[in-house]
Amino acid sequence: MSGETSTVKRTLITPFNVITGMIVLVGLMITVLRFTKGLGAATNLSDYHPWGIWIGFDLLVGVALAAGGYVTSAAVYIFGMKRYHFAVRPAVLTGFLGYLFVVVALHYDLGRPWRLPYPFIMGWGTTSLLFEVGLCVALYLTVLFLEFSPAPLEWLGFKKTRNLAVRLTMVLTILGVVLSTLHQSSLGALFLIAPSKLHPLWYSPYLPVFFFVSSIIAGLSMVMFEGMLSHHAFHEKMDETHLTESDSLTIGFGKAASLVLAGYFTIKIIGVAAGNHWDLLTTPYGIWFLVEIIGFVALPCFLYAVGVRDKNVKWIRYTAAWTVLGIVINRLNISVIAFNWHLPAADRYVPHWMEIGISVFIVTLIILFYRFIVTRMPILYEHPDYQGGGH
Amino acid sequence: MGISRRKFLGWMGAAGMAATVGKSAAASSTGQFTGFPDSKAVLHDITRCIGCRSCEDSCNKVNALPGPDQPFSDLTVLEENRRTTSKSFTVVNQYSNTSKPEKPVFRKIQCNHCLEPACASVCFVRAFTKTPVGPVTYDPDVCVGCRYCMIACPFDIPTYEYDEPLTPRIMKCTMCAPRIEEGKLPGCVSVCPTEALTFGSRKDLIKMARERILNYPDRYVDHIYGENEMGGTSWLYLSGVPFHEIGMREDLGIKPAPELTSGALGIVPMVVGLWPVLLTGIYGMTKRKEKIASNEKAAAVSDTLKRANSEAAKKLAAAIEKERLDKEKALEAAEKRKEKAIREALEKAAAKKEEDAADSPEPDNKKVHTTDDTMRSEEDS
Amino acid sequence: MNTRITREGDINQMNETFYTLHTFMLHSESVTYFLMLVSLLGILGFWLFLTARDDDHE
Repeated sequence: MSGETSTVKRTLITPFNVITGMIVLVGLMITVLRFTKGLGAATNLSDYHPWGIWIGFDLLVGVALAAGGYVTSAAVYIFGMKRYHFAVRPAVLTGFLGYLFVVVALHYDLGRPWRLPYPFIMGWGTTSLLFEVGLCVALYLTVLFLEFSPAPLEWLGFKKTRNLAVRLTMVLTILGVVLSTLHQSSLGALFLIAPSKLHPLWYSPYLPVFFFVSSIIAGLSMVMFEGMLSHHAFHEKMDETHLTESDSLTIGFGKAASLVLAGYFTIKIIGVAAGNHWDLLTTPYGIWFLVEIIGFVALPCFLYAVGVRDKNVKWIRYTAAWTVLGIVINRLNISVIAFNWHLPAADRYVPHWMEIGISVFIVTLIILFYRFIVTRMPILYEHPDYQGGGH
Repeated sequence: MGISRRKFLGWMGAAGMAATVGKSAAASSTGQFTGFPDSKAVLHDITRCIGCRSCEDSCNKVNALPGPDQPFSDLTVLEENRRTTSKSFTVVNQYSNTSKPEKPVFRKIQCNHCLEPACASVCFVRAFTKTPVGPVTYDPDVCVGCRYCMIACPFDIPTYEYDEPLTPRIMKCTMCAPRIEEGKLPGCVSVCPTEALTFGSRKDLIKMARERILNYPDRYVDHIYGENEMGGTSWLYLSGVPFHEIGMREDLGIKPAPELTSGALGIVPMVVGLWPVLLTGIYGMTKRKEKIASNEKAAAVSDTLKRANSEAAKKLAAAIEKERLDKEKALEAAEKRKEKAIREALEKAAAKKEEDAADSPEPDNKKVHTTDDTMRSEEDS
Repeated sequence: MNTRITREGDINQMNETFYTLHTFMLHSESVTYFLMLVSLLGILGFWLFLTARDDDHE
């Protein structure tokens, strides 16, 4: 990590390197403060608000946006969309880095992070949904590591191990979808225990379903959004297939995202109906809820549809960015904004700048690692020795 | 009686243990859990509380907590709306009395020691235990510090040592579990000067509370807070004013906390059991479809090839035929031309013969030459 | 007869162990987690058994 940043600094003084260098430096300083003075010194967390953006953004948003790995590998290997095979590796890499840094970020938030394995070695608090989330994230991180492993193995030239890893593709893909279904939904189910604290428009017995369905949307949109960024940054690293097929992928995924958004919109409305909370829609929280549902669910659903009908790749990619923002808003609504809504303003939580600093630091690290790997390993192109293998 | 019951159960066991076990499980799934028998509880009669803060003082000493910012004798702090903190497991708040404004109401806040604690339900290391005696205890030796218990608690009771960098703990009232073990009263109960706090068996206390409501219907609201809230708590409250007026939530419902998550937990094994079947099925269908498609493609390719081959053969045959016909035509034409040329030559020769009949007899040379020309024209075509 | 008494004891324990929904769920969920692990491995093995004689087995 520090080696990577220092080499980046040594090679060139570009705006990218200067900015990332500063973020990393500030991040490291906050890290020292957090682990020497405690959570109180670096966060605005309180006894009323024990979870801030390190859970709301780093964990909930992080996991949702890392869903591209399971969505893409399921589309290609299970549903047989082999045309999109070129997109599996970048998606799995993002998923792997996403989950890896979710776990890293969790170390900041936990009181005694070195006890992270305790649930499985001494706790077995099986009635807790957090236990289920922890178990699934731990297993899925392993699955993603194995799914990703062919790339570094090709890079390092370990042919036999690489072929062994490739042979596991189907089993890993199915296991990945099972584990993702479970923990994506369970992240929503975490809040089922607190009906008295979460605003009724967001609290619903369907929370796990909402989280799972929106994770598919997040995964699809993230793959497209990332494709857009990669095309700007790593164009020269892409092979012929990647360059020519990525438009068709964007249109295909855009169509899928539009359809899933339509379903998500429907079940969100049904959620309001099931709780009979129509009257709350005219309150300030209700209007914010409508902004989320109409502005960040119905609107992108329609925009995707327009983009797909017009075959307008650029349009679809901007819609993807908007949808990703919608997912961020949804997760923050549930964990921070609409949580403890009944408390007076003085007792409410507003993140400390250092909390935001760590979140930015973590995102920067993901980008740096992604760049390090993509510029070295066969991610955006097929390794010449393993072409046409289907994997 | 005991023996016959034992025999009966023995027979039941012999007849079918599965059925008996099934029965008990069915009873469990309908939520028929009554809690530990004879567990202890505390009844807080809010109408008797005078807001003296002795309980806060005692709690502080018993639990060896750091000293307060203001001494416990300072009653001005009652005017603030306080909550439990990592340095105070219990606080007394003052509330205005809507019916009798001259007589403010005081309420003591601390852990309610739920019969089905939400904190225990959500703890992934089982740091919280509902003991058979009554207290909900916490074990800092396994705590990871995730603070999910604080999210889950409907009463906002657990607090956290945010300023501890390495060994932060969840801090909350223990109901003085160690003191109860020794046969002593909880710290707060032991010092209450007005008997606003009563310690005893939960069943007895509920009876006592009912009697008080029955005997003094004007003094009390007809509700024992904690009898059923969140599945029941080991801290029970009687009040003279509606509970929501003194900061106690009446919208929590009577569902025990674990029931809120049991549905979601129940889906987990269904997903694990059925998702692989569904996904493998879809994979199988995809693969089959691909195979059929590739077979069809192969067939189509070979068909096209065949058709292409036969067409090519036809074309070739036609070309050969055409060539043959052309040749024939050309031959015919050549023949005709030849015949014509011969005829002309013969005619010429005959004419010349007639002209030069007397002086030059050489017609054969010219005839040969004409035949050569015809030969050449045949080759050109 | 002895075994019957033991069984009776077991049944009594089954009926009396779980005073709270929480402890009951701790027990049943722990069993469920164990069974989930078994089923995941089991379905993989079963799939291999099911498809072992397929013509197009790779």
